[in-house]
Amino acid sequence: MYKSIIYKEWIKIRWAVVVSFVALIITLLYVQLEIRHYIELMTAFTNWLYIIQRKMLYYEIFKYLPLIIGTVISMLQFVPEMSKNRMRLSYHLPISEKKLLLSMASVGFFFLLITYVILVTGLILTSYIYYPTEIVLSLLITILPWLLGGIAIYFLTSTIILEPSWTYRIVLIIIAIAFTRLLFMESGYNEYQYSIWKYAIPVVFFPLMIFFPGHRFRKGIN
Amino acid sequence: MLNKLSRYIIILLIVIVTAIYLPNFYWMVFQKNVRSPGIYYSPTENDFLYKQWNRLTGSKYYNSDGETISDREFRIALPFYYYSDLEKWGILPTKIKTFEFDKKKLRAKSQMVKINQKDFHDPLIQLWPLIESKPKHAKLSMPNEFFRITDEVEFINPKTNTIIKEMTKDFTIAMVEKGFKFPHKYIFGNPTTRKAFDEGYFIVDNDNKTFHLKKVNGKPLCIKTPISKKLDIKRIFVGENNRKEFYGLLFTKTHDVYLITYDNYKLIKLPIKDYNSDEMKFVMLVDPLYRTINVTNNEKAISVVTDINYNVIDRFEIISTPKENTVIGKVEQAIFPFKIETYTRNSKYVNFDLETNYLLGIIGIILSLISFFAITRKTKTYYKENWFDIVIIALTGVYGLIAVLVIKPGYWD
Repeated sequence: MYKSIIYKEWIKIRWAVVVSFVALIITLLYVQLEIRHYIELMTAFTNWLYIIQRKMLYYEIFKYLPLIIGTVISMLQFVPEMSKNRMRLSYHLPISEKKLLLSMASVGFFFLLITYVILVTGLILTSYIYYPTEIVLSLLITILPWLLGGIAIYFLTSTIILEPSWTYRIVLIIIAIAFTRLLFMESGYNEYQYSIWKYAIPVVFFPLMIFFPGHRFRKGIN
Repeated sequence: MLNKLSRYIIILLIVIVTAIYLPNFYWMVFQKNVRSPGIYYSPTENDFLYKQWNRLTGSKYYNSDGETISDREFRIALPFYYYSDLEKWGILPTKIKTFEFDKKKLRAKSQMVKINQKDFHDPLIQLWPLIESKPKHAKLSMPNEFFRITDEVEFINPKTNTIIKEMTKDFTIAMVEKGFKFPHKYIFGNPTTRKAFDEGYFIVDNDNKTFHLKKVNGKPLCIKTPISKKLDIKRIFVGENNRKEFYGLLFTKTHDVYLITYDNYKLIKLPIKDYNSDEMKFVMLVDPLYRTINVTNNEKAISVVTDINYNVIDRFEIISTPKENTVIGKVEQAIFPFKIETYTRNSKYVNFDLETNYLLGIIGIILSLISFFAITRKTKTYYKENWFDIVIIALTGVYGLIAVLVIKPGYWD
């Protein structure tokens, strides 16, 4: 049963996954070219100085990428289910609704994590060529809230799509934007260093959020 | 069970989001925009004057009794700051006390130091350029390398991203010879070329001793300063100035402030009381006759004026009601039992800090509970099934009320 669910989810998102991977690799190459260009243009020293003192984030192009990928994967997975009430069929599968929802979301979440692995590894490898450990470390701390934002938006979007009533959807959309926005407020590096774990605590529970709209759907609430 | 839990996670998220945004919206609507006053000491009136900016009235000027004075009177009383106005009006005095008025001399004897509470809480990558302090040219120029302090003073060449062994060895030996104990605790400098000369870095070693490191003709110059190990140093702000009276200001964790003078690093303690460097802005004005030290936050502005030897001449204080104690503030605390602060004026870091309103907040919680029962008016079984809604409101007040009313319980199995 699980195998076929995974396969079905894979079919839904495979193009998005391929496009995400390609986009990631192209952007990584672009960042590499950009660093080289900057170093040619203003010397390596000035480039480091811009990063350290003026807090230029040379990887800022990736800022909203986790957010976009999270939203797109979630939409590809759940919008087709909700249109024409197809989900009703899925709920008739010989598997509990919760296990079904959770295994569907796990597939999307898994691919989101793979894009993160590629992104982080790519950024570390690219950065280590040109920059010392301090800068690479600050990159990792700085992108953490962005990555967390991608995870948050994946489960929030899934919840919003699975929700059968439009009133609740609108409330959830407002709450989702209000929360996710908090993770993208930095104006320089390392600003979430001491608080990121506090933002991560609620996000850990986000996967459980999808049960409530699932339950409401099955109960036929509109 | 899981469905209920799932609902409560959505509710929790709404509580978090509203606890961040609603108090902010509240203050956006009700707060008057008032800036802290700028306090000066007039050498002609021998008294304090201040100006205050307000969104509604613009800049207003006052004497120390709080009486309004005109813009012109204010400027006339402060010839050291508004001499160009006075000159234009043809009333520039030739002599102020012992100081023969001369614009060049005035500029050479004036200095301003401004330190914001945010500067103490600002993330910084610990890589530093060491500027040549005896440059060949008139202007300072940036070096070609950065350094970090580990078990040695490591210089890195950004071009190749590798360590420069020779410089590393030279500087490390120079430090060790002076008794520097690696690894260091803090390093403070002012690495910019937009200043007249460079004083390098002050480095606190593992033994709490403070060292001064400069680069002179490409070679290390390390001085072990007599700054006491017992001072609990929080931060040193190095600020090169042509007056060459002090290298910079030393702030301790106990909120004392010292000047590090050019007289063999002798410290001068500034006579300020009630200063908290985490919450207050610090300004020091130096003119030919006086030193005016101002520390301000929302609640108070304290000013101390001293002579050039830092003997206190006079003190002045303006107390304003902190916003928490105004009626608007009290109402806020009664409505919201707590709030989550993400951005504060005291730090460049993004926070997620819970601030509770204690007793007053209980009013809001009780009101929220009453409203909940009044609005829902359900059967006993309803409350029995969703008893946790009541717990949530009892803990989070209006936020919980909004959340449980918006996200209604389902028809549980």
